[in-house]
Amino acid sequence: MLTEQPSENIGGSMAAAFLALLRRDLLLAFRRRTELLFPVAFLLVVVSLFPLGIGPNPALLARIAPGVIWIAALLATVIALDGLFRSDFDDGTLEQFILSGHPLTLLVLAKIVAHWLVAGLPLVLLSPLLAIWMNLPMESLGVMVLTLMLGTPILSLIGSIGVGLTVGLKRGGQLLSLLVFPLYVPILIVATAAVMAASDGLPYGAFLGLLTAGLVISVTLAPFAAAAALKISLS
Amino acid sequence: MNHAPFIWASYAISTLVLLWSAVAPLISKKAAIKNIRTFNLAKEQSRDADS
Amino acid sequence: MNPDTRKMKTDRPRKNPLVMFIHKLGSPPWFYGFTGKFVPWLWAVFTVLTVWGLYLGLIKAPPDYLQGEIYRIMYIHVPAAWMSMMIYVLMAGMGFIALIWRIRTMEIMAMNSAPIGAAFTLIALATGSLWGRPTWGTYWVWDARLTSELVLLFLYLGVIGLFKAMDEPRKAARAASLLALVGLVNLPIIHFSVKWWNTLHQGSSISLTGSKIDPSMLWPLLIMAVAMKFYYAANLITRSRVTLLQQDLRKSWTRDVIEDATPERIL
Repeated sequence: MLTEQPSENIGGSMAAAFLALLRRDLLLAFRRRTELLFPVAFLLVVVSLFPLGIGPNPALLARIAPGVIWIAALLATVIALDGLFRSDFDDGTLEQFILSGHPLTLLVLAKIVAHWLVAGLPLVLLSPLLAIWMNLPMESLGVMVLTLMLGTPILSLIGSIGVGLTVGLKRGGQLLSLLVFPLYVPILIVATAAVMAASDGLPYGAFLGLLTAGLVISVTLAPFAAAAALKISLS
Repeated sequence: MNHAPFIWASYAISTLVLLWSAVAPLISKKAAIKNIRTFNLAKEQSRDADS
Repeated sequence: MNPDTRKMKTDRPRKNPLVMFIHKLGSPPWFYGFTGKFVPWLWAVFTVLTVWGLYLGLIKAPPDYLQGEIYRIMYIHVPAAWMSMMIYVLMAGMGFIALIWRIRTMEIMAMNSAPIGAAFTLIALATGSLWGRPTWGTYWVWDARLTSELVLLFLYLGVIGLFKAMDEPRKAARAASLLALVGLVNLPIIHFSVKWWNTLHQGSSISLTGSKIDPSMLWPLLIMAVAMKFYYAANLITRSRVTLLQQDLRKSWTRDVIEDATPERIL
């Protein structure tokens, strides 16, 4: 009797489990509101250092703006990612996920989505301000926001694999950046190229298409790899 | 420009890296063999002490 | 049950020799003994090929009409660059086998490939940089090939770093193998994006190797490339045997191996 019921239950409740975990993570993040500001503050501080270090020449700032904002967003994402699975790993919740009978891949995806909403989306919303600071031409401001909108989820998705591999380690944070930055190279290249093309008045649709393709591929593949990584870390 | 120093430097660096990569396991092999010997010696001594 | 089939079963089971070979390769003592027999031969072939290749490349081959003598760096730079990529693919492939079938010798071979691959990447970077000084005028140009090699070095360092950061070697090997696989999926994307980024920013596009190459220059290159493959095989097996000794310190087969061996066979 017991063997029959859950299989039906699980089949019907996969979406429910996904949404429940998403809600829980968002609720947890919302209870610690101040921590939500950390990645945003980090991004602001890092970007503001560039004019101080390079000089306030508007043309020069406009030239390096896409790269600076993107690299700062990359750093902010990786710093925020470090905590993606940590508390669930420490208190044994991850083991419960595996025992729950739901595919770990789906639960991992829910955690990544929640994490992006909390740590990635604020960066995207903040980016127009940064673009103005860096004197980016108004025409390319929209493209900048679009690339971040498409690109930061890819960063979270690929990063989750690295987090899954390093979650059991004491000094996982520094290792994490070594593991994931090389994998971020193509995204950085395509995204900054799109913004630069827009600044120069060139067509940029192809770049956005590439980013979208990257997003689709990483949504389908990265959760599997992250789930496999977590299983290794938990073994 | 004289190119010879660059060619020699390339081959010198390559030789050093490849040589080090080949010798490093031999050094750790010596240590590993020593470890195995001490482990087995300690085991035999404890066995002798028991009997 | 038919008595004939029962008799068959009591006999030693007959298996496909290839399957048997793979099963045996998974057994550490057998692996240790089997590889110990031919590893000196691999080193010997590597030495002969290297001497022959360098003789042809550095002494016999004529200077290039465009680049002069400096092109002779090619005989180490190009094989090293090829090896750096080939070893990454092999490492990820062995890591895949290790992840699926949990074969310990495969885990060890995958992990011991990483430092060798990193060494070849380092050689490719250093020699490329030394080649760049006379041709480009600087030691470093963000050329597509050098940049790809640099990213590849970071990928290797990530695999090595993750492997060293975990205490339990088998778990570490599986984690690092998974990372190598993720890197392998990304490697073509990285390679093409870097290439494309380079043309986008119109960096110096002097290609290091000419489009057409004379046979007197090609042969030494091919010989060196094969020599480096023997180096990899010999070094990988040497390293893997040492790792087996380190990990199986408390098992009886390691004692038997080192007690039976004469001093010169140990080294």
